[in-house]
Amino acid sequence: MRRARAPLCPTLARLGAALACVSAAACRRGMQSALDPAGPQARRIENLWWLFFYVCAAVFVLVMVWTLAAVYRARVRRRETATALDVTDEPELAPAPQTERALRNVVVGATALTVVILFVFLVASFVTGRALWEPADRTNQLTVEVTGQQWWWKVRYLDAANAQNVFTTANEIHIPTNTPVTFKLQAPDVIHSFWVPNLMGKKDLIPGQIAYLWLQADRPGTYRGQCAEYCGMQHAHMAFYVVAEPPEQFAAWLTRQRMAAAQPASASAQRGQQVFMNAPCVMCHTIRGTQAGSGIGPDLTHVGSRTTIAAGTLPNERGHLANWVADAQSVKPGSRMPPNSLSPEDLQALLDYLQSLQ
Amino acid sequence: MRDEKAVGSRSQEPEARSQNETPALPTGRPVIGRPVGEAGVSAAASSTVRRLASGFRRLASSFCPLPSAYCLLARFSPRPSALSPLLLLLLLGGCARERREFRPQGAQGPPVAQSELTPGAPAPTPPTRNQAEESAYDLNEGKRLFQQYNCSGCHAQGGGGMGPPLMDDKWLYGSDPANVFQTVVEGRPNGMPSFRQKIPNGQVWQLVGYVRSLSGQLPKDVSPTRDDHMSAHPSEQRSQQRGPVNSGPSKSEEMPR
Amino acid sequence: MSAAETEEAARAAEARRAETELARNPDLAARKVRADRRELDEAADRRALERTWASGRGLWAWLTTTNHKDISARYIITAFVFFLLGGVEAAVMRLQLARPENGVLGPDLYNQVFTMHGTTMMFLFAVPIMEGIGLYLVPLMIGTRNVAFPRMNAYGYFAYLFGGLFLYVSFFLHTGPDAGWFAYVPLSGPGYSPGKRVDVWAQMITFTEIAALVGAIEIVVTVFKQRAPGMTLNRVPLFVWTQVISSFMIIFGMPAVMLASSFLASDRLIDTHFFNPAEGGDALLYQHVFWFFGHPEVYIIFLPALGFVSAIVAAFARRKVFGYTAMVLSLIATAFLGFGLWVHHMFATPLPQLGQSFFTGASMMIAIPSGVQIFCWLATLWGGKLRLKTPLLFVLGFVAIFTLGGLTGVMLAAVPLDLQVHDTYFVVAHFHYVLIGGAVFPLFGAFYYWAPKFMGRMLSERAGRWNFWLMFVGFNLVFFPMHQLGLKGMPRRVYTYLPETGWGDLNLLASLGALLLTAGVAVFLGNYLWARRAGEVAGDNPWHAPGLEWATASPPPAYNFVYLPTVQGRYAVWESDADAPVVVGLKTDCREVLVTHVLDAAPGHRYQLPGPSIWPLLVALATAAAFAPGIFTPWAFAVGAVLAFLALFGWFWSDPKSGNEPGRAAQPAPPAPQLEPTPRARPLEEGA
Repeated sequence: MRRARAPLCPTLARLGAALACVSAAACRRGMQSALDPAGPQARRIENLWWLFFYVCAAVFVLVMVWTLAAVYRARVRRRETATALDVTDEPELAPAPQTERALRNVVVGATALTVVILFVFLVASFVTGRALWEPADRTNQLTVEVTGQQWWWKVRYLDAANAQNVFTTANEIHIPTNTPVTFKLQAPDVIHSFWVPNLMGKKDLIPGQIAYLWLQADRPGTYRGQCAEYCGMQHAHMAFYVVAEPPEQFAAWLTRQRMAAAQPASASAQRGQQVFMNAPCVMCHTIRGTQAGSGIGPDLTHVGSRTTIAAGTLPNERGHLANWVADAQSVKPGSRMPPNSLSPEDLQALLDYLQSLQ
Repeated sequence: MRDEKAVGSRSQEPEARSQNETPALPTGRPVIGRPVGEAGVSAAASSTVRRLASGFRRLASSFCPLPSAYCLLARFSPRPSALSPLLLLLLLGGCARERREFRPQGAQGPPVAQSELTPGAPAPTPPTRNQAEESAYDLNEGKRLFQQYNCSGCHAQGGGGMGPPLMDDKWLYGSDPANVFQTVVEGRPNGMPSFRQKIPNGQVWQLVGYVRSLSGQLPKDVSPTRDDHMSAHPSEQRSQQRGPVNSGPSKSEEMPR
Repeated sequence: MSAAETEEAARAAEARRAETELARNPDLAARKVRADRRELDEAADRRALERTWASGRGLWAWLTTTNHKDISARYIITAFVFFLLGGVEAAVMRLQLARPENGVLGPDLYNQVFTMHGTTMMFLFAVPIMEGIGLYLVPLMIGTRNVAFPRMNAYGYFAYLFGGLFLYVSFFLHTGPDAGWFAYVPLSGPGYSPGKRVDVWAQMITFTEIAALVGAIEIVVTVFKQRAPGMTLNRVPLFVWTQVISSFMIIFGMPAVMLASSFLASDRLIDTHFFNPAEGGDALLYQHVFWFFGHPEVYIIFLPALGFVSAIVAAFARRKVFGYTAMVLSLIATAFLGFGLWVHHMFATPLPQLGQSFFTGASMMIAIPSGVQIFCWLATLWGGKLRLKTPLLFVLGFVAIFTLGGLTGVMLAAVPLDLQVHDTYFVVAHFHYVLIGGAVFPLFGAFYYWAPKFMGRMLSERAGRWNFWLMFVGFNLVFFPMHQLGLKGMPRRVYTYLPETGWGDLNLLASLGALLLTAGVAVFLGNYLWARRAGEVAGDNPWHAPGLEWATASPPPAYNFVYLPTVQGRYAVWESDADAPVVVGLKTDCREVLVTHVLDAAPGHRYQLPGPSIWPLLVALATAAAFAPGIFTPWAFAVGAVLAFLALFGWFWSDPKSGNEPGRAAQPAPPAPQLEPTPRARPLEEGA
């Protein structure tokens, strides 16, 4: 008997320890964490989370205490009756009315408390929800169009005033800090979900519909986002980065990105450009300022300035780039990037060219 | 064509599936404008035989490719080869259709060079085997590429426009996969550009398969279904088989025999 | 009004009430006539029943049996095999995710495996095993001989079996579905899932649908029309209530998924455009239709488990369950609310916020009935005298795990929180807490509790404790870290993750926990295999439990009870005295059952059930002939329809009363059942 009861206590301790771990500070850091907010929306959600967390933790502890106390009491009672009457197995069909009354009061009270807690939750949820969709500052005109597709993100910076300023990039979104930015989200193939946990919750991109979302970052930093709706083979490798930078830095970035690609300076890069134009690369990719203008794959006009390639899968370094160009399927099986057989010299030249596209 | 021994040996390295019978082109054989069959009757007969043969091939090819459970067992079983005979029975049903090959061996090979010059009399060309035509995934990729590479720009959705229609039964330059492959890679007179080196071979084979599915040359269970666009015509899996009639561009361009 | 007058009026009312009760309540009337059981020739009746209800031996008998216990045992064993298969798939996935950029499975295979895992667990394990246990126990608990439509019951099992085989054979042929158990379009649609993988999924849904609907109808009709005399609607055991209510949910919910999967299949096979936005279809429509089923599905799985809990709690707390009425009303409320909160699976889609708010409210509201039930059980435990046996351990584990899962469920109901954790591992943790905690732990408790009834032998208590603790600790190790993973941004359904995300350690922990969980299930299997041969012989009622299922032998004979019992209270065995009346007068030379009235379970008439028949199997084969090749050509449905028509023709033509048994045809046909209502207490009067 004693042996049977004993293990319940360590279990509770373990559960408690595990619960405590969630609130530990270590869990709160991360470049893709909902608990490390970098913007007003994520912060509001985080506050709501902690409200829910502490209340729910208290409820859980109460229920567990009730359970263990009930087990303890009932077993004590059983032992008492066992010694007194030796008819412990006789079922109680008409329990003592005062006990029943007390139990009824407890159950009704607990239910009432549940209702009250839920109501508080409901109101808190509505209040938070309203704040998420109304940007405080509507003056900013920056709108970014994000197109999720299998398995990368096409990013277009729209400019209603001047169509010349519209440009396309991929998998890396720069935003100015302390400014709400509107995102226009769409998907041409299957459903994806745009999610930057440090800034805001997710929004599904449904083919045939356009969704809007606004984001704001309070502090500069790089925040990782990832497709959150299962979208096929390479759903796991469909990430992107949001780089929040001070407005002046952002403006400089914007100016640079609007420019067409730099003409290759070195001989090797020039040869690389020729390789690009004569290889399958040109069938899918755009480099503004050259004859490459296909929209199937990511825009490579400034690919050298990005931090990652293959939708956040590999760091943008020469070795990884070479691997990606030559044998993308070993990195990201099923992705749309075909294997390319280039001679070593051609490959080196191509890499020189791509890296020169700053 | 594939005995049990071959499968057994494959099981030791389940992933290193040899892309045997990579549809090597019958190099050196005239394929342009080759009239099919001496007479209409034999053309029909040969088409039946070809379909039968393709059926057998499909059955045989079903032995091959990485069936999930097989792959799992091979991975975790200490002696995977011992399981082979048992699994073989299971695999008879056909799974080439579900094959998804991401790094085909043949795809990186040198582009196929063709010469129309040939010593002696031309030998009859055996039909080429295009593995992409057995895999629904490859055909679907072909369909995607057909749109994305803007083949539709000239051929419309297969109905024809600036380029000839691909849904009908007429094949100007032959309906064999090798012919179509050559058409894409080499280009053809009067507007079909050459995509030599522009499209990797693996993708060309996918396109070849798709183009052939447009006129119902392929079994329905692998042919692509409708996509999420406006439907200009019934999907490939529902198109009736047409022909093929290898008409040749015109009498004057026909090869001397 | 003076006090005396009030008292007088109350007395008069009491007298009137007693009078009506006597008139309405057959067993009270019956008690007056006191059947003397010793006058009955029990041995002769038993022999006759043995002969009449025997299923026979051999393959033919196996294929034709219509005994609900044989069929349910198959349901349970088949579903458990699928549970093990799904578990193996889960283990392989945990192996893959143990380290970042692991190479155990490639994306193609991983996607198939996680789809198979979800599909297996939801469609081939959870629903069938709950229904299977229900179909086994409900007729016993309500005191009848068989379910209402025995041949349909057999048909349901075969349809389920064929569906499961179809899915797994396809998986072994590398045609396993890979679009997730939810198969969202457009990913599962024709353009992005080439091949036949998703078609297999869509057709498998149809098979299991059929089985689930058939089982649900069985249970509803059996409970409403075949309860033992005296088991009025407010004396129906809580277990039976949960079965009835979840059966109703199946009847209303399952057709929705059938619609979704049929739309999907026709989009894929015959180029319809239900979900093609370019032609006026809508991808979001699929999600609505799917989740209109998908959310009630959770309760369909979970409600029967609550029935297990109520039964176990009553038996091991040695008292009646606190708040019977509140419990039943909570169950019904859950069933209604369960249909009103499907949109909380779609909070991230571009739906209007006002609409979403309603579903937030409904999703939070459903915590109330669940809470009431938890509180009632805790009150029962508080007021009881506990015997802390393995079944109760599993129930306590259920309380801990399910409470946590329920609380995270409340979090998910809030739109802002859901936007962050939707489709992350937080949700994976949540629904495993709810489904494993809420359904699998009670299920294992139920196995320990009813194993003596199922096989006549007790499972080992010692192994049971090992089983429980391994599963409990293992489960929490696997799934608790997933809450954290989700908050740290790990999405679901990823076949791998990058090292720099920092998810590696928690994933490793989860994968190690999976070892313990697997060990726990292995202990159960070992325990079961051992107990089958060497377990302690149980006897009729080893737990001194209250349900009617314990009022017969273990394992129960084919006819369940020699004389159908009558019921005097909610806890039939506890509340019946030794000389309680029994039902006599039912024919023993044919399969006759007593049909009673829906509300008060007063005897209505006798009804003859069909015996063994091969037709259910043939109809199931015809169904399979329609649906399995239906992924290749729509003509299969025409062929299947003709075959099914022929088979159904045989089904309806064959004389169900003859039992289709060799040798029985020579006997004179039994007299037709009395169709006019029998006088109220007639069967009971025999012994008077």
